[in-house]
Amino acid sequence: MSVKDVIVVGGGIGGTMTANNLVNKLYPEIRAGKVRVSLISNDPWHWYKPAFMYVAFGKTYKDELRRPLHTLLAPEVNLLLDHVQGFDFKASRLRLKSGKDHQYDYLVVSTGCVPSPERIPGLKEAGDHFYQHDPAMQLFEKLRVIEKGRVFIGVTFPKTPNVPHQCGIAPMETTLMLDEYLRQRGVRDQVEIVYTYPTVAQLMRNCLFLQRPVGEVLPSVFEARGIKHQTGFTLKEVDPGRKVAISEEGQEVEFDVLMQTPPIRAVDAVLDSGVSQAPNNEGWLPTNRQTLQLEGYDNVFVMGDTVDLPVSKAGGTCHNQSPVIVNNIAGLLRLGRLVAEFDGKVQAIAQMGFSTGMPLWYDYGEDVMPLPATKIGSMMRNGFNRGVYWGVARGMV
Amino acid sequence: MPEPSLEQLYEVISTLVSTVGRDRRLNDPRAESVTVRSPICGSQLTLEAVIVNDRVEQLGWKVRSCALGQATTAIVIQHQEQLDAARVARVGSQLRALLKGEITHCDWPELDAFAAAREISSRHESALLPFTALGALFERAQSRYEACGQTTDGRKYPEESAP
Repeated sequence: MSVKDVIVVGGGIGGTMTANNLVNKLYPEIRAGKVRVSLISNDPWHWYKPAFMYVAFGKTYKDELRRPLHTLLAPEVNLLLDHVQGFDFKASRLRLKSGKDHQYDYLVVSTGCVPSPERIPGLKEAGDHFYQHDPAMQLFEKLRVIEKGRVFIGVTFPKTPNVPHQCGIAPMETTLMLDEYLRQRGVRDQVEIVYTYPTVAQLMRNCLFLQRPVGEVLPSVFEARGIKHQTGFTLKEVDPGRKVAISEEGQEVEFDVLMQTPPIRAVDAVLDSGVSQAPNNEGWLPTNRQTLQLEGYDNVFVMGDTVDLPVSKAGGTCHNQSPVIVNNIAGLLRLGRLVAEFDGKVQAIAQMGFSTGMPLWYDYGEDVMPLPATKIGSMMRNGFNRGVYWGVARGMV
Repeated sequence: MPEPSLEQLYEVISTLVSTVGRDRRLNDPRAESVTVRSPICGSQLTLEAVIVNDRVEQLGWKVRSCALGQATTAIVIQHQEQLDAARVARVGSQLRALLKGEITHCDWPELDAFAAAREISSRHESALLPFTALGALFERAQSRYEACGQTTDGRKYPEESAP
């Protein structure tokens, strides 16, 4: 009897919950020695990435946001701490940094994305972001001392049509958190906040948010807090010497802090696989919208930030993709066919400042419908931050 | 009549894009497939068609384009029962002229709203993708028939050339 090898690559939220969900789903086969579930990660730590934005405001610190990856995994998951250097999808084989090769029967690619500020001239030198821990700390070091001037906020989209930037709601959340943080510091009156959005983004209308219903309520939300806003600012380059952001539309704006959602790309091994058709060497894998299979490879599934789908690159997306992938792998193993489809569903609780939250959800067919931000919403978000998240990673929620 | 606005175009697009949200691939062995790209914006469309007697009999699609390309592909799909080479060429030329501001109406009135996208020249090729793809598919069908010593109009499909 040959053991079927199911390998998950990536120890972020998508890979971790999926490895655990696979164990839950395939427990009879695993117990009978018919299936083995492995997770390959190059990091012994699992990071709660969505909380990096709180680091930028001094609300959380490094050790609060991580757990040893092995402590989050079901004991049946075979954890391999190694680095995938090459995907050979045709041969169903992985090449690892340790020199080992691994054959698989089914593969889940959940390798995330890489913030790449270096793709905009001057941005790495003079800009800041909160999508990784160390840059978020660097941003905090600036925000905690700024006394006057301008915080200029911008968003960079991938060039691939309909592929959004990382965590779609984060720029709006952090703008509102910044306003509250500066008020707490007593310097808000001296610091101008300017929120901008690129001209075309993935659509062809000027807006403050990708989805129109939210975009339509944002001006009033910002104006109530004295936050300036502008459409039609697509960052082209930054002049670090002059501290000036230069747009594709020809505008130049001085800043004291530039908080820019940076360009993103797939990880090197995915880029080098040669499978992606995404422009600008972004590397998103062509993914079937419903089955989440890598196009052309029926035994490979893709999730999270690595897909080329028009859904948010966020943990709330993984939460809905993971059961689809797990059920489809179980369906293929047990019935020889796919049994589940992804409907594009994403859910989250947006942090609308530190003390209110807004539940949101959408799918392929429905845009986000903005709801009133409430204290109960913030309590739900705090509960998620403080404990529920780890239950999600363990596949329990 | 006033020029259509971007808001009106957005309304048109919103009602159309769900048509192509789900890929539809053809299993028919007679189907031809072509993938076209807009080099400026990166939009991509794979269109499949079974073409018999110079008419589209079946259409399949995988749309990975911006909203404009999704919407025009959805419109083409709505008209698939009337598609022949001449009509595709004519309406495609009309859309190109509309986007350039040379005309204000197309044979398919749903396309008139795209006049609002005149200023967004980087997306024009995306809007034209389904017409580019269908043109290539008709050319390919023509070539296959000619290779068999036949023409596409009024002749039986050559069985030996099925892929």
